[in-house]
Amino acid sequence: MKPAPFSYAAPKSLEEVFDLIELADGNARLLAGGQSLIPMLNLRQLRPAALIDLTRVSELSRLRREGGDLHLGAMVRHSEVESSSFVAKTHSILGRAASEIGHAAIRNRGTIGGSLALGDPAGEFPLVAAILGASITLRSRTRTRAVSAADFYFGAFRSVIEPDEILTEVAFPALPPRTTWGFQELCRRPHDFAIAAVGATITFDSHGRISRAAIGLGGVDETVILAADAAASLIGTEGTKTSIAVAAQAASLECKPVSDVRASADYRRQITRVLTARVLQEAVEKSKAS
Amino acid sequence: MSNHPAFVETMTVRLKVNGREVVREVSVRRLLADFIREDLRLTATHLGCDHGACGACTVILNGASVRSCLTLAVQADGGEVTTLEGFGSDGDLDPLRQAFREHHAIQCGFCTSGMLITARELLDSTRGPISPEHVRHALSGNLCRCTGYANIIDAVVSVAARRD
Repeated sequence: MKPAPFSYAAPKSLEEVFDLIELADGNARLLAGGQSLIPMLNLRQLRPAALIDLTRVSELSRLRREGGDLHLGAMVRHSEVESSSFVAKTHSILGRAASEIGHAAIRNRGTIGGSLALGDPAGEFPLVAAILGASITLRSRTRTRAVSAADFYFGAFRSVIEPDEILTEVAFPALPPRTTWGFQELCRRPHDFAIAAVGATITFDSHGRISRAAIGLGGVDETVILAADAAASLIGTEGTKTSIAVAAQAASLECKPVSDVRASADYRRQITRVLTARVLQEAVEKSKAS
Repeated sequence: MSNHPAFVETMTVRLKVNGREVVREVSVRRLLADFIREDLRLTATHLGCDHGACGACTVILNGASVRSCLTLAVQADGGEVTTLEGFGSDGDLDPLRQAFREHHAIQCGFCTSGMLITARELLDSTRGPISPEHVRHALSGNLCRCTGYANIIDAVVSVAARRD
């Protein structure tokens, strides 16, 4: 199990990346952290003619804040998101989500851009990007566009990225005041692929009622999805056990899970309800504590 | 096309391995794991699954643990690699290696190199006490098919305790 032959380039700037994409004429794959692409090459599930390695494109590794928004370059590694105090200051849910990805050695290589571009329906970053209403920047030589995370995927491992485009950055909007979050997933072994993952943010108004909620579900549909009905059911409530149970039930009915080697569809639906209740409880408890 | 000179099939890589300067011509599809084992003949690093699941091939690249089967040798160009051969010598055992010996944390030994490297990163990156639960989580990406893990956990916890 070794990769089939390919040719390789390690550009240092985005301009060079665009040159190489044109030269390769649709036959190249972009290599970010390689923690999904290289296994696929080793297993020969993919045999690209060329790899364009983004490791040395330093402009893709930036973390910055613009207004209250947090911008992470595509090549920011999971381990950096996990441990960064800069990230934790405004978006601590990202560190929590990153800590669930693979194992330390995987997180040391894997990147947020790679994870978003791959679009695993159980992927942690596609999930939190949807929950937080992130905006994903795609660039080609001639155009730059921003796509909202909720509109980014149209199937498992299928996104709106065009062949001449590269995912350069993701921007997470500032969380409104009095917003707390929860994030949990179920795996057979710690840090394994998630059977189901659920994350949520809730915002309380000054009277202690929920004014805004977002609930995201991973691993239980074709793509990560937002459970809109479940979130809507929380608005105006105080986040009591009863309102949480109603929302959790709604979330479990909003997904279309499939049966596979890890779990049956029914089990996934059941787990979605349980995890949704737990993350909402987690978020409510955090708001009481703060 | 991808046969343009901007795309190459072999490359000269320069890197430090266990503190020693190495310059080699490699095929761009050479995995770092195979480069370490076949080209450099450093065979403490083992290859179990070739797709990142087992952890046997874990090495340190530029200060952080990586799966050497999920890294290309050319990606280590200009960097520093530490394999288990870089952890003390047989005459002067690294405390973790000594603890694995004392706790009989080894049966066939295939996973041991990856276990030691992952445990070393855990010890080096964690301040304060390290619980058995903490060690179990950190080593969850390193599969052992012999020991049942208990002795491995004990060995790592014993080093962590002595360190505190």
